[in-house]
Amino acid sequence: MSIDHRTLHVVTQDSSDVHGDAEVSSGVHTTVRPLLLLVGALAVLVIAYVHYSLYFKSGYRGIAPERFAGLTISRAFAFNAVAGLLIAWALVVSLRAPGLATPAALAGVGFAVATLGAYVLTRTVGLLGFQDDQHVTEAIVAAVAELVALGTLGSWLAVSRRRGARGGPSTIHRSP
Amino acid sequence: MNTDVAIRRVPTWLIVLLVPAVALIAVLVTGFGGGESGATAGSGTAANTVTIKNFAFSPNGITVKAGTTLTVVNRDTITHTLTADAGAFDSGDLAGGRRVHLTLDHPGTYTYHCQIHTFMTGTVSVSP
Repeated sequence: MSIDHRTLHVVTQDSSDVHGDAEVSSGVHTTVRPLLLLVGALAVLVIAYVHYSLYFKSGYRGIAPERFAGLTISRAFAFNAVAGLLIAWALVVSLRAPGLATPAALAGVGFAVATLGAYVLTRTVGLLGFQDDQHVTEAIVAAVAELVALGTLGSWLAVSRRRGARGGPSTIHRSP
Repeated sequence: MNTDVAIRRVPTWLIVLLVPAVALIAVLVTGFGGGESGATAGSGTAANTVTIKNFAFSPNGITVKAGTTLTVVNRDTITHTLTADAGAFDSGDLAGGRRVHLTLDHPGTYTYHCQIHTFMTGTVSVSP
């Protein structure tokens, strides 16, 4: 069964008359929420690419001063690259599969927090025996991308939660 | 503009393939693997040379004669140092792709490390 977008649009306009200011933002939501997911996906992809690049091109492939449960700092870089790619993919696909959006956004936030936390540890007390205080361009790019991912996906989750609590302003009414 | 409606117009196959395609293009454009910056470091190995690659000194132990020049080549893209534990010699910051020459005059066995990445260690023996 297909959704008649014109009908959906009219219903949303009607509901704004009923609910007033609360619905003024629903149009903004439908414009901004997909963009938040897309920008978040791009940021996660940038984080993954930086770690891929460091692993394959900058010598981070062979560092294993310490090991925890089979995980070394090198493997953590490789794991980050793969996980970031999968999360970015899930975020983009969630534009067509809405059920995937919340888990993907949560995974994206967790990914960004974990990556940022790991970065802070490597620059302070060390992580898995690795410590480095150099300001390399890749690290700065990744740190900015992590903050962007946190901001966009966190905002998406906050907006979704508000909409959920409100019962959702744009309930879909299908045409007969 | 309603982005939701705009996105519904994008074909599903494009949405599904977008991220893999972007990732593949990024990998292909920037080149897979590699990492050697040969422009200044040169290539090949030579006697009396310690090469830094993948956060490791190679060879890990080396013997040279007193008065010999030891060449240190950094083939990583980030900065390392080769610093004697007891302070007998120090390459200073050696940026990626750079090399430095150290003259070792006094016989003995010296352990060294990278001051930035202290887990990187090695030994140089200076024979009379």
